[in-house]
Amino acid sequence: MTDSEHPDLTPEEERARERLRALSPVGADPAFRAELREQFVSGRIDREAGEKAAAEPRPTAKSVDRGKPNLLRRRGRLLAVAVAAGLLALVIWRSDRPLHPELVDLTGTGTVAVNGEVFDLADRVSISRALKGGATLVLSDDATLDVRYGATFLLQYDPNTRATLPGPFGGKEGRDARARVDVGELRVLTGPDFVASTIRIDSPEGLIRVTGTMISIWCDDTGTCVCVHEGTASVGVDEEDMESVPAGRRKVMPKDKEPFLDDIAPPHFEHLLLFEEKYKNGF
Amino acid sequence: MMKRDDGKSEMGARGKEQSPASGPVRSGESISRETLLAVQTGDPGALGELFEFAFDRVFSLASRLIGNPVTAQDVVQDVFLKVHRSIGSIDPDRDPRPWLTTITYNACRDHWRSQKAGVAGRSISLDENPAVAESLRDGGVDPGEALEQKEQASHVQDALNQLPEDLRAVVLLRDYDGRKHEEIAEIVGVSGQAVRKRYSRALTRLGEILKEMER
Repeated sequence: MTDSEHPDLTPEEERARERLRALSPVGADPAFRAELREQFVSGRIDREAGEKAAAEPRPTAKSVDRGKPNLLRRRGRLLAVAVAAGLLALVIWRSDRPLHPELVDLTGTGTVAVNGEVFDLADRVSISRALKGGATLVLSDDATLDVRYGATFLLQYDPNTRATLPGPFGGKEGRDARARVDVGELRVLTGPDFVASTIRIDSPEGLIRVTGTMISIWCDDTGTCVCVHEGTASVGVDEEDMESVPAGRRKVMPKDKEPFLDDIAPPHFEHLLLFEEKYKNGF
Repeated sequence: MMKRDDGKSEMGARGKEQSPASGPVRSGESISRETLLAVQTGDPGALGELFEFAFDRVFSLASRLIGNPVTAQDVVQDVFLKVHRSIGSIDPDRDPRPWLTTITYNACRDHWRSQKAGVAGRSISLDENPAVAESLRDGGVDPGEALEQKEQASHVQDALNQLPEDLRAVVLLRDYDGRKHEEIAEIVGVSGQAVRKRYSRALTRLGEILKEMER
């Protein structure tokens, strides 16, 4: 079978596709099918799901060993309460600690300046130490830097980028990060802990509000271009101009023209694909 | 959407919406606008029709995506629960199949996220297909040929199970469920270009795995 969208398949790919298309439908267990049909038609499926949720087991005091003498039981309870309180305090303390930038990867042979101090990319330890929330970065023409904030979000800075890292994030610092890119290219990927968080990224031409997505932001002396690869992002020249940009689209904010929406530009798309491939198993 | 002679709309006929890559998951039946309107009111007869229209498609797709028909049962149950909870908002003027595919994909994705251990062990073959067994009994298919088909299908499923979930989903939605790239982009929540790229990567990888398995 020919496919105008994929005309260059190798014989192996073509064969794999034909075998895939030849797969038969999977038959279900008739008893399962009949039971599910009855549940669906009668509405029992919804009622039972509601009842199941309501009947979720709740912790009770019955788990305490009632065979022990009263004093021992009381001590056991006190110990359990103390341990639980300690664990809770630990969890609160840990979750209240703001996240700081953590170096994930460096590629290239150039340099990176952190708050004005220039490091050779080979000096990973010093770069790692220098990276602080809110630090300014200047990457040379052969340097890429990937930084993460726990499992919340990851930022990838391309060569020749000048930018400011988000400040410490989470805990008492709040979950609204703010970063800046002045020139160059930055890609953002949000992670599993990004719940109820936002990142605002300012560029010379506008601002980008990320609420869970994969995007790239590119700036030069002609303007800013924001490409959305997954999810959506809010982009505008100012707060009043914010508009939602869906996956596969970009918003271009030229320096001296009106902003417009368009399909993702090929070079940025290729960069996003490489980025996606690199972090497909998480960061 | 196709119009019947009596002027009533009929959902489910592929017609104009057919993908060039329509795969083996096909619904032999269509579902009428009137049925979908009755589904909205919770009419048991209409719900039964919707179930018959949807079940084979949902079960097959979920089983292929998950790689195990027993685990797929939980996912399918979840799909029908979500469908039941959405019957009030079902759009009678739209083919419900893309909607069903989206719910099925989302339920599989939730399963993958909750498991994180990847594909469950294949204790039961997906291709122990009752339809094949039936045709063997009826003499409709040459037993040797049917056995060979079953073995081949089992190989393909094993190869699919080795693909990362995002690639497996795209290639199955395209070639098994017959969705277009743009539809897949909407279902999966990525751009059309990303779907095309993932599809190419999936086919390349699948070709390599199948070649390796046959050595």
